[in-house]
Amino acid sequence: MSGQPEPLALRGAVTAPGLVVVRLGVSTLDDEVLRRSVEECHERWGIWGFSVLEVPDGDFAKLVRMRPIVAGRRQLLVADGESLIGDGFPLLPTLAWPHWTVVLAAATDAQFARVRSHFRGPLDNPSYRSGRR
Amino acid sequence: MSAAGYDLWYDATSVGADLVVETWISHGPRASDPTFDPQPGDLVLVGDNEEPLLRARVTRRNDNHVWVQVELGLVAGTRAGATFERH
Repeated sequence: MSGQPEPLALRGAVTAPGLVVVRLGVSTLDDEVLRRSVEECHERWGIWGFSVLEVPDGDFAKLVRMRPIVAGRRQLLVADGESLIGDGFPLLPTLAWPHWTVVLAAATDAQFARVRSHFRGPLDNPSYRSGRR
Repeated sequence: MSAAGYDLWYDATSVGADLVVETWISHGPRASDPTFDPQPGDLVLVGDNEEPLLRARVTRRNDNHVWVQVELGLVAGTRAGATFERH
């Protein structure tokens, strides 16, 4: 929203060992794209961050049931929650599960490069449904 | 219609279970188009420069912020479709 940020409501969830998160698409961690997402997060909640989705129990079919948009994405970027947190990028349980926000200290190219280094891929989306759309 | 072929850029990872996602006019290809004035109920095309464009229905507008509900299964494959269609 324009002006005052919204209150940041967090789910009562903690990052569990083995948490895997995905960012949909191939170029969605590129500087220009990431900057847009981070700016939107900052205006909404007053923090620099971007969206990722937990893969529930490592089950991509389950993720698609919870977020149907996932089925239409051919490739994904994947990161381990522990790796992000260990390098100073907190994961906040925002919005409805399985959504999380990766928090950055600032919206800088250096931060973008560092957080990007934790993501593997692009990997083929195992739940991609080519005929669905 | 913009040169990019769509109206609003969206972050696919932010699309909710209800298929609603917040977009910003200023982040899209029509940021400098003064005629672009999406209102609730309008149909628009959303894109992310990776996957096929999607049709979406505007559900809410607050100045630069536009919330849309994407229509999965309704790919806007050509530019001849109804883009920015007012209802």
